[in-house]
Amino acid sequence: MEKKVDYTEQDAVMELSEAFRRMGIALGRRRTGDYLILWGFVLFAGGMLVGITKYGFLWNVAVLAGSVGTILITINRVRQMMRAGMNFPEGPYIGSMWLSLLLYAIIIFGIVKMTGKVSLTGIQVSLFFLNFAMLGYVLMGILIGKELAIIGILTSAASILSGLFLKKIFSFVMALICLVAFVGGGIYINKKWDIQK
Amino acid sequence: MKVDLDEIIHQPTRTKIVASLYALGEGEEIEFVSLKELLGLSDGNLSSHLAKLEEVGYVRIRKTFEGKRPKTYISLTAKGRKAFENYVKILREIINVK
Repeated sequence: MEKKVDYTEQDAVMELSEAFRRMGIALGRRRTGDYLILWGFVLFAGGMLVGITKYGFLWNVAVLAGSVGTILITINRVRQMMRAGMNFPEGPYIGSMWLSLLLYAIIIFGIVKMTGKVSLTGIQVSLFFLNFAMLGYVLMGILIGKELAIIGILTSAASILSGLFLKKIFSFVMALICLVAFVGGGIYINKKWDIQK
Repeated sequence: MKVDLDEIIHQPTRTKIVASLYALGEGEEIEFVSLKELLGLSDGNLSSHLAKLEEVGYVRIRKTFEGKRPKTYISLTAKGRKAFENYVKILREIINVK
């Protein structure tokens, strides 16, 4: 026998709007990891191509392709969210955090280069940007889950060790590290926020 | 003219369940655990309300195995969608009259 409760029409309206709000967030969070999966493949391709051809500028091509992909995914997501009334509250925080990291990495890199006395090798530049990205993972761990922070720390450690001990095959190792870290992180986020898991 | 709200849907937990499934989209399914977490309900509470909704044909419960793990997927049936739309319509009318 169901217990009778005093449930008014106004209560029902509040329950309805809260249920729609929560489902909107759950739907909006879905497939956020696609960004990291895209970057995993882009950086893997970049690392492999640079390793094979020794043309460093191919990194720039990879980063450009990744940026175009990121913009396309964002446009698609925003369209979907607007059409279906979805909401992604963490989106602006995650987006501005990655933009800030990129901006600060460029600023620091620019300052180092401006001094004119420092000559950086390709390995150092790669390690510099990858470790900034891994700082992003550690920060995302606060919002999404500690597993991401662990991926970030492990990737940092692996990249530094490769830079120290695997210099001859560094590009290939970096390509693999990026593939595992970014695609793994992306799959983790997609799984975590999948409502059909 | 007096119009009655659907008593099956007009219950705090069931309103949330049906509204969430409606917001999910037509023909879309959600896993039991995700729905439970989304609504902040216990296993038993969600199960009992889902059983009631399934009894009247508002929800579809699909049980399956993924590997060795049992999975339960919930979706709103066409009858459930219609009932919810009607519920919201009547709710609007009542609130507008008041």
